[in-house]
Amino acid sequence: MLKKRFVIRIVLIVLLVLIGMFLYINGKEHKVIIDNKEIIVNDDHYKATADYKVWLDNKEISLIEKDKRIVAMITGSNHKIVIESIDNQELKGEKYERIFKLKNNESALINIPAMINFLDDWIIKTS
Amino acid sequence: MMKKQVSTTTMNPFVYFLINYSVPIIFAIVVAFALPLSGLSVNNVVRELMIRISRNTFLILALLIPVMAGMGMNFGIVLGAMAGEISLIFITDWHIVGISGLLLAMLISTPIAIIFGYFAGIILNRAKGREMVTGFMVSFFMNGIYQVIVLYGMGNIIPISNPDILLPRGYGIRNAINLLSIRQVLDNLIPLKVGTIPIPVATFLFIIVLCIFIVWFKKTKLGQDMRTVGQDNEVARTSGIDVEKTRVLSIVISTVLACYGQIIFLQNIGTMNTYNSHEQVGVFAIAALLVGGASVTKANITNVFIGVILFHTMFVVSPRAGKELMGQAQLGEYFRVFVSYGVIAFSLALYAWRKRVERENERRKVMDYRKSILVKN
Amino acid sequence: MKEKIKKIVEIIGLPRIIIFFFIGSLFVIAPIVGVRIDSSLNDVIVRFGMNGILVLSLIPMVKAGCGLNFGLQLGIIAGLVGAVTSIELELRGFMGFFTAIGIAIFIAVILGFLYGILLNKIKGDEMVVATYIGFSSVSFMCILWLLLPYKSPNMIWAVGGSGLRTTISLQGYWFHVLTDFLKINFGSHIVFPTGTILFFSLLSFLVWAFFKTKTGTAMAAVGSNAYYAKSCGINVNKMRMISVILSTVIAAIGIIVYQESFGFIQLYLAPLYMAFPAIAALLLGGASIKKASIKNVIIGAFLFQGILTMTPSVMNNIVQSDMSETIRIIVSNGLIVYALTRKIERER
Repeated sequence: MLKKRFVIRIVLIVLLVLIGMFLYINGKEHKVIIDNKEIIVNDDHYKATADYKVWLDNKEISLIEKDKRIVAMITGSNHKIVIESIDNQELKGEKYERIFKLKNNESALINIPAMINFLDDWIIKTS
Repeated sequence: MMKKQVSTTTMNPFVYFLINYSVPIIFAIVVAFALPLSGLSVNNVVRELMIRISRNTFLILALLIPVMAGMGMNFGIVLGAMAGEISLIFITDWHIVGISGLLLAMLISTPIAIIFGYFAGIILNRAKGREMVTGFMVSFFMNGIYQVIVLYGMGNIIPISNPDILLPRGYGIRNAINLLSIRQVLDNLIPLKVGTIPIPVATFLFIIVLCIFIVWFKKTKLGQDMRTVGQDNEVARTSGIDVEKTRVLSIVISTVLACYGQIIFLQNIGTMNTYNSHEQVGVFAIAALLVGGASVTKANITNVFIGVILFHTMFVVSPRAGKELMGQAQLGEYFRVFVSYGVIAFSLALYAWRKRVERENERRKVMDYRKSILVKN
Repeated sequence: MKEKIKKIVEIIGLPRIIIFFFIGSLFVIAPIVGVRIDSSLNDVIVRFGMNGILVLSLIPMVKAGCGLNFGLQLGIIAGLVGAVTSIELELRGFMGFFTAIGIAIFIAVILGFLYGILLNKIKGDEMVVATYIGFSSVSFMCILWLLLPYKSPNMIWAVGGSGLRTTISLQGYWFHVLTDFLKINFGSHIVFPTGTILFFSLLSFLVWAFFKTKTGTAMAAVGSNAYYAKSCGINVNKMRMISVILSTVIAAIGIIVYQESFGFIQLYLAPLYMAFPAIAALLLGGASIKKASIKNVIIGAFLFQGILTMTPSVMNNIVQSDMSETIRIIVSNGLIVYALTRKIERER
């Protein structure tokens, strides 16, 4: 009888800890820096060629012009970034999409030229 | 020489009603006067009231359970508020936002609130008959302990990594922390507007759930035990109820509820005054409950709602009314504080007076009975 | 041997012993961290004089069985009105000081009388209600401070032209008249406040003498056993009333002495919590809710001010930060909680 109560209590506590961890990961804010700047990888230069409109997790963030940087805060661990080229307020149809995961305390630095050239270094994660 | 007897039980029932509910009646009259005086439109007042009711009711509901257990007005809810604030400091430091942040704060504050409540309960058990004064002093004492934790421990022994909330000297939390990360997350969770007045549906849902919980709790064995303990310790003891444990439990539950209530309160306001937010919590909640017609031994959900409406209407109305009446808005501020304390003083005095009168009457009845027996013989 | 030690501890009271050793160790550490012992000692004595009378004021009510006077603020308010009025009348020096006391006593008697009527109606529950009466009266006075027709430019808000300021300086009026009276200088760091100590001793003597009179003994009888006193023909209500008035009057005098030493009159919400340090000091001196003597006042006030003075200065030098306010909160409130939770003989 006592054993049953004890087991129930342990299960409850474990459940609460799990919920807590879930809330923690889900609610954690991460900083994302997006650069539309030139990036150099292995002596290859990739320049910024156009202005883009940025969506993070299906929410419109802002415009990022050539050679500019924007900063955004996102919540949780699974994210999607979508960029579409834009010229004079008109969307040009060139769309790029990436999915990325952020762990505890990680912030991301995303480079657009690297992204559109399908490089592996398009995103750098720092703790 | 026969002194005139004042017996509350044989009085004209209308007069009895007036005396019993004198506090809410007087209050309602004062508010009825001040409302038109303040010049605020009904729309304005209702909107303010909606916000205030949604953010304060949970806290006041937390007071009900100790009253049931005979502990009087639990000033220990301040301890619950402190537990809630400590958890909010943590989630702000960890950058947890939105509804997840709010729920996480409630989760991690629960063990802290339980510890604080347990501590308060044990002390109150050792001061039977003086629970209210002791609870009051304990809340002041804990304020000192809270300061040690938050003003000296945090940043030092307790790791805090966010420099925005720390004081310039490197440890200790700043005076005011902005809670933008969770600002009104609960209120806006389910948006609803009646005319121009926004209604925080989710918050009200929380309040309704708590009301249901309280009603259900009263019917459980623990709830019944508490009521027995509240009515008569000795009877409870002989029925096999662990009086000490039940009393402590009532305080623990109340503290945890107050902790959630404070989190709800702060998420609405959006800023936390680290060292002041909890100070007036006890006084205002208790004053509101008393204004609603509750007494030290009897309090129910109706008292909570009547009280919160009347009390907070007064709050909204008095600064303006003070300005119109005397030309100084500052007056209204002081008037609020005065009314809060005054209401408590008045209610407590009334209650104490009535208690004495009833005791005197009991004794007189016994003496008269004995005398009549003697005479017969 | 162990039994004997236990007995001594019980008589003196555990908290007092702890605090005594605590202060002793502070005095030992002090010179090591650069705090002067002589000036600290001097501070303690001065603060003892400042606060002593307020602690003394608690005695009549405890002796009469009215419990600890959590409504001390009423006496303080009387004192504040007296002080403010004396400045309004532009009185200086001892003239101003004693006029303030005179007016304060007058008001204190009235307030004490009203307070006493109320307390008599709620025998047994005085402490809780008194706390809130004290608070509501302080907040009520806040409203009055704004409205009362005081005109002296030293006291009014510069901008706006009406309503008293929060803090009023006593410089040039009766600042330190008592403290500097017959003061004795010991070297460069010690100034013994003879005047204040003499005044305190005078009042303590008067209180002690009062309790040797017929009225005083009657009052004490009411405090120890009200029913027995009644059967002896003592008018219980009248005795309690006198004790309340006495306590309020002494408190009014006490706050004026405090201000004279401190140098400022503090209005509005400053007196809100002033009852607690006084009560804590009395309890520290060994008093309980039902029993208090002048010895308790002297020992308690001294120890309490000792902690309040020594702990911050020593701690601040060790920890390099100002913990004094927090320590004050923990010590004074902790003491009161401790006293409230002691099991005392139940009087029915």
